[in-house]
Amino acid sequence: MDKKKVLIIDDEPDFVRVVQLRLEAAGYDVLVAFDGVQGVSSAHKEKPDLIILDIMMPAMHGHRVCEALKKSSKTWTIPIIYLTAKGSKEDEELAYQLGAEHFLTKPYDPQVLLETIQKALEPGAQLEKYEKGEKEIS
Amino acid sequence: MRNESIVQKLPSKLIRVLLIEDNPGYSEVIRIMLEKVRDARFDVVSDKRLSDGLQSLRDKSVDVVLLDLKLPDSQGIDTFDKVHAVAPDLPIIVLTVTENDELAFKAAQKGAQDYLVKDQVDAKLLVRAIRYAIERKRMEEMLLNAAQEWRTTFDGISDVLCLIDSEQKIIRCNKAMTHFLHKSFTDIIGRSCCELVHGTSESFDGCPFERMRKTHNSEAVVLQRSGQWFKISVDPLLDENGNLVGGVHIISDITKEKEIDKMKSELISNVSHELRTPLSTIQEGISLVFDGTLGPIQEDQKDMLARVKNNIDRLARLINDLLDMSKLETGRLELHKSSVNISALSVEVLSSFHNQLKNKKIKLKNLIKKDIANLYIDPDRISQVMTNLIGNSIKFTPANGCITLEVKDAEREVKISVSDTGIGIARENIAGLFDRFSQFDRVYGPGERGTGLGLPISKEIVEMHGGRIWVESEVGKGSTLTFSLPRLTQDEIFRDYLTTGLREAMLKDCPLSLVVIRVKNIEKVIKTYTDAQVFAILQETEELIARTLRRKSDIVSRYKYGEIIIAILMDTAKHDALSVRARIRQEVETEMHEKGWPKDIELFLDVVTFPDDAADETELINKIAQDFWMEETTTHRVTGGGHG
Repeated sequence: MDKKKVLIIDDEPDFVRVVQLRLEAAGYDVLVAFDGVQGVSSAHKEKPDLIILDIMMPAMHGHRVCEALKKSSKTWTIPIIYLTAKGSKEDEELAYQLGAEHFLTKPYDPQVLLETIQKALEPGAQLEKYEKGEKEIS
Repeated sequence: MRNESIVQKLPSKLIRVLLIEDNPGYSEVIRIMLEKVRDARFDVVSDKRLSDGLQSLRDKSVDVVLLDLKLPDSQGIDTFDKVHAVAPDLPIIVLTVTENDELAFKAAQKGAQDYLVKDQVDAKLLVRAIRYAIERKRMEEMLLNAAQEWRTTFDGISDVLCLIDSEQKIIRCNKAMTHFLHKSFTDIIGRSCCELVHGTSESFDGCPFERMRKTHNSEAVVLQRSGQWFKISVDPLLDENGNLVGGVHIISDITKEKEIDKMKSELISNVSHELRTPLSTIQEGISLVFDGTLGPIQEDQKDMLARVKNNIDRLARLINDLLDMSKLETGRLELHKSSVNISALSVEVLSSFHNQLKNKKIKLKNLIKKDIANLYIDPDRISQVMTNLIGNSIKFTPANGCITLEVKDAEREVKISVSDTGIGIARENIAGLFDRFSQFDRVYGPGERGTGLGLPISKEIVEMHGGRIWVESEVGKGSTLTFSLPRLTQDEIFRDYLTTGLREAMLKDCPLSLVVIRVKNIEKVIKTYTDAQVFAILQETEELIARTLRRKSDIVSRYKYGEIIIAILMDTAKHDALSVRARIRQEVETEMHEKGWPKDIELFLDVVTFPDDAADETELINKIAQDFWMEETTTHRVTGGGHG
C-alpha cells in the first residue's frame, strides 16, 4: 500500500520538524508549508491525504485556510486536523463549523495525534461525511 | 454650668468694649461699672450715633459691642442689622429700655449674643454677659469652622459619598455625587438612592443596601455604567442599641484597577499561549528521543529524559492552570452546559487514572451510583474538577493506599466525593486550601508537584455551577473532598439556555428566535388521555424536533413543567425561524399520521424573535406567556417527566 501523504501547515519550523519526524516514524510521507498561502497552494498541487493546520500564522490565518480548502471542489474532501496553541472553545466551534474533522491543542499527546490521524484516514470516514453532507444540503 | 468654668479660666486680658448709646448718662454708668471690676480690665469706647459707632468699628479693634437699639439715626432691629453687617464676627449685646421679648427673640435669631434691659443691669450681670458673649461667639466660630472643615473634606473626596437613612433616602452627599449624577444638591437630598442611580423606585437585584439591611455588615457590589466600572459599598450606621439607622454609601471609580487587572490577565493569557508552542516542540522532541524513534539510547540517558519529560508535563499543566485562572478572573471562562450523565462521566474520568493507580499500587473503590438522572452541567469543566481532586488524592496517598470515588444522588443535588487514605491536611491548613498557590507539608515523588491552582480553579468552576465544595480531613488518616452540583428544574434549565443564548446574541449583535410548541387544546386533552399518554406525545415531539433541527447550536428545551417545548435558534432571523416552524409542523404532521397519534391532539406553533418582538429576556418570557398562555395556569398538569 502507498504511503499516505500528510501536509503540515504551521509557521514554527522547529515544531514542524518534530511533528514531521513523528509522522515519518509512523510511516507517513510528510509535506510542509510555513504559512497559509503556501499551504493552500501546496494542498491544491500535491493533493495530500490529510492536512495538519495551525491557527496563528502570518499571511493567512488558519481559519481562512480551512475555509478556502473546504470551499474548493478540489480540496474539500481532504480531512483537516487543527493543531494549535489557541485552544479556545470559540476557535474549536469555528473550526468545526468551517468543516474541519478534528481539533487538537498544543502541547499534544503523540499517541492521540497518531490515533486521530488514523481515524481521519479510515476509508469509511470520508464516505460517512459525504453522506451526512448530502443530507444536510437537501 | 459648664460655661462658667470656661469663663473663669479666661485670662484677665484687656477687653475692648464699643458702647453705642445715645444717653451720655447711661454710658457713664456702664463705664463706671466696668472700671470697678477687679479681675478684668475693660477699655470702653462710646459713640452716641449709629454712624459714629459704625465708623469706630471700622477704625478700631473691638472685642464686643454693647448696642442700644434706639439711636437718633436708627431704631429697632434695623440698628442691629446694620452693626452686624459691618462686624459679622463680633459678639453683640443688645440694650433696651423696656423688656420686649419679641424684639429680644428677633435679635437672638439674627445672631445677637445677649439681650439686657438697661435698668436691670448691675456690674456682675454686665461682666458676665460680656464674657459669655465673647466666649459663645468664639465657640460658635469654632463650630462653624469645624462644619466648614468637614464640608470641605467631604467635598474634597473624589469618591462619591452619601449618608442615607434606613428608608434609603439620601440625607447628605458630597460634591462628587452631584457630578456623578449631574444633579444639584437640592435635587439629590431627600430622594431615594435607587431612584436617582437606577431610575426605579424598586431596589434592584443584589442591591448592597438591601443586603446590608439584612446582614448589618458592610456590603459591596461592582457595576458597570457607560464604560466605567464602579465599586458601590454600603457601611451600616447603627445606634447604641444596634438598630440600623442608615448607611454610608461609597461609590468608587475602579475603572483603572479593572483595566490593570484585565491587562494582567491578558498578559498571563498571551504569555501562556506563546509558551505553548515552544513547549510542545520541546515535549515532542524529547519524546522522539526518549521512545527511540530517532535511534537507540542508553538506560541512564533514558532515565534523565524521563525526568525532563515529567517536568515538561508539569510545566504544561501549570500553563493550562494559569490560563484557566486568568479566564476565571476576567469572567471569560464560559460554561458550555448540556444535559450530562454524571455517572458515565465519572467512570470516564476514573478510567483515565487506571495506569497511574496501578503504578502506585493504589486501590480504587468505585461507589458511583448508576441511573442518576442527567444533570445540566459543563461536562469538560466538571471532569476537570474530578480530575483535579483524584489527581490530588493520588499525589498524597502512599502505595497500597485506597482512593474512593463516590457519586451520590439527592433530591436537589448530586454529591461527588473523593476520599483517600493519604497523609491528610492539618486543621490550620484547611482554611487556605482553596487559595491560590497554597501548597504545604507534602513530600513529593518525581514529577508530582502540583500547580497550586487546581483547587481554586475547581472551587470557581463548582461555584459557577451553583454548587459548593468542601473538605473533611484528619492528619494521618486521609482526606475527603466533596462537591455538590445542584439539580435544576426544567424551567431553570430553559431560563439558563435563554440567558446564555441572549447574552451571546447581544454580544454578537445577531437575532435569536424561539419556536414555541404546545398542545393547543390541553384542557380537553388531559381529560381524555392519561398524563403518561400526553407526556409520551410531548416527549416524542421534542425528540422529533431535535432531529429536525440541523445545527449544533440549536437547542430544544422544555418550559412550564414541560408543557411547552421551545426550540432556541441562535443567530436566526424571524423569516428563517418561520420556515423552520413550517418544517417542524410538516415533520410533526407526518409523524402523527404515521404513528397514528390521536387526532384530537393539536399542536400550536409560533415564533418569537429577539430583537424584533422583544428587547430583553423579561420581554421574551412575557411574550411567551402572553401569546401562548391565554388560559393562564401554573399548575402542574402533565406528570411523568424528567427532561431531555
